[in-house]
Amino acid sequence: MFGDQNTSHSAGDTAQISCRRHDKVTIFDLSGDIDFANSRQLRESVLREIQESRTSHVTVNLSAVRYIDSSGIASLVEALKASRDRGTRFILFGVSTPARELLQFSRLIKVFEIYDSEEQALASMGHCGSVHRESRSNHRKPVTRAQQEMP
Amino acid sequence: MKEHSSSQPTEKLEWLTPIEAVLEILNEGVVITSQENRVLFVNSRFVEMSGIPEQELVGADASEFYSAQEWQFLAQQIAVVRHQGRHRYEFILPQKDGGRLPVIISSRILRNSGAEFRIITCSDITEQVRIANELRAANAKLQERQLEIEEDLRLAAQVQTSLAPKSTVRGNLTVDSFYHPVHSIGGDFAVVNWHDQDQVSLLMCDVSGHGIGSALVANRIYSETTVHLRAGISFTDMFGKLNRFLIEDIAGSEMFVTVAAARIDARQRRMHFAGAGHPPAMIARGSHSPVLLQSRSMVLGALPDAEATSDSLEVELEPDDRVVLYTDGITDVFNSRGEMLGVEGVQEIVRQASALPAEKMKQGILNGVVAWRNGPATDDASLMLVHVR
Repeated sequence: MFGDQNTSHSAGDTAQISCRRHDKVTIFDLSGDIDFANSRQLRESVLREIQESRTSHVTVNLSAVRYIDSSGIASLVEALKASRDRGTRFILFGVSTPARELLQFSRLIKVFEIYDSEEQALASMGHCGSVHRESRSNHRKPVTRAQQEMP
Repeated sequence: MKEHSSSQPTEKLEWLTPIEAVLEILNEGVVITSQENRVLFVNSRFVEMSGIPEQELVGADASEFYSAQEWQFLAQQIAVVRHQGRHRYEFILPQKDGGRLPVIISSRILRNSGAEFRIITCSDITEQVRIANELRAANAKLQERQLEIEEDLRLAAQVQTSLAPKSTVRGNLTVDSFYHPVHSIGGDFAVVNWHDQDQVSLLMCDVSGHGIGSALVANRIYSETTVHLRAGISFTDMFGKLNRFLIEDIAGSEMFVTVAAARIDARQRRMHFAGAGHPPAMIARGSHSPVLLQSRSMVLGALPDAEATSDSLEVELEPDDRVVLYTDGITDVFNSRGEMLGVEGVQEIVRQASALPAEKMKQGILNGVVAWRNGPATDDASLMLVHVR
């Protein structure tokens, strides 16, 4: 059931941003290095999702993020502020060690709603994690060029 | 185009008759000449391009239509065609009414029944030349603008570098600093404000991102913080003011600022420290692992409630303590295996470098960072070192 829409695109040489959406939940999967070169793309994608109010929950999966710099964190804060304005719930999960370290140094870790895993994040929204996990893998196959345009 | 003698009657070429109709519908001018450069055929497009009636062209010597200089050029091209069998070149075709038409000429040799002919096609490239000229003019303007921007950046870099603290020795304190923007200007800056021989306030600041935008925000904050430091207000109040300033006055910049601030009194051997979202400062003491001083306040410019900060830390200092402040350009460097140096890595480098004489410690730390780093720096980097004697 998860992944009614599934989009993915490269965000520079070292990062990948993909998006899964179903009903009330949008999940952005980030991987690689999120830095000054691609944080604008992250910000635009997540802000557009929040501003268009397509779903009531926007979550960001940071488990495959190798490195995130202050401009990447700035993008997440922008998204948090926009979600507060729009009444959308904004959640982070799978916060990798480098991302967690930076959130701690910047003292922003308590500002975000953070869960260890996708299942926990989904459970907090009243979704059944295992069903979504199964569906998620179904939708992890490569996307077509037509699908690659971010919504 | 110069006046020419009346054309000689020319016998029609048999092989030409069947293809004449095809040559007439081409959008390119076509001229066929004999080996002796006598014009044997022109299509109506060439007549239109040159403005010379067909009866004046056919039978005439081709050289009659050009100035000596033009013909000299064409004769050189004809020689190339004869040598290579074909040739392509640009030419300005003189017109009967004095106009000049830029064309691309494609010429090739055709041999038929023991005779040699040249088939010449002329394509009007007026539009391409116009666009090329416009592009050339636009490029020249861009280059001029780029030179202006480079000059502006050079001056901006000079101004920013002049703001970087100089290494200073006063009383029982030595302050040593390093600043390297990844571009000509950047978002890092440091302030050193001496209150007297043994009391100094230090500030290390990092505006997110790098380049012109960050540098402009950095320069605005530099002025703000310098005023606050001189006024001697508490770090907590200063962070609150800076946070409001960033959110209200530089709204929409989407830039955050991290700050580490320290006030050192060498006589009392005390230091007040406060950080806002900044990587931890370090105090290196002997051969021990340096003590980390964590930020207690959130990054500035992110959220209005960031100003609800805790008090600053008060730390007792000992003789030969070295206080190290830096920005994330020092920690966020990667080795060839893609491993980040991080705070722990810098902590170890600082520990090792603290065994060096104080005047060599800064270079020792920088050498350690460079040794870890694979490739050139990708972020602005700043380092400040205070030696308490």
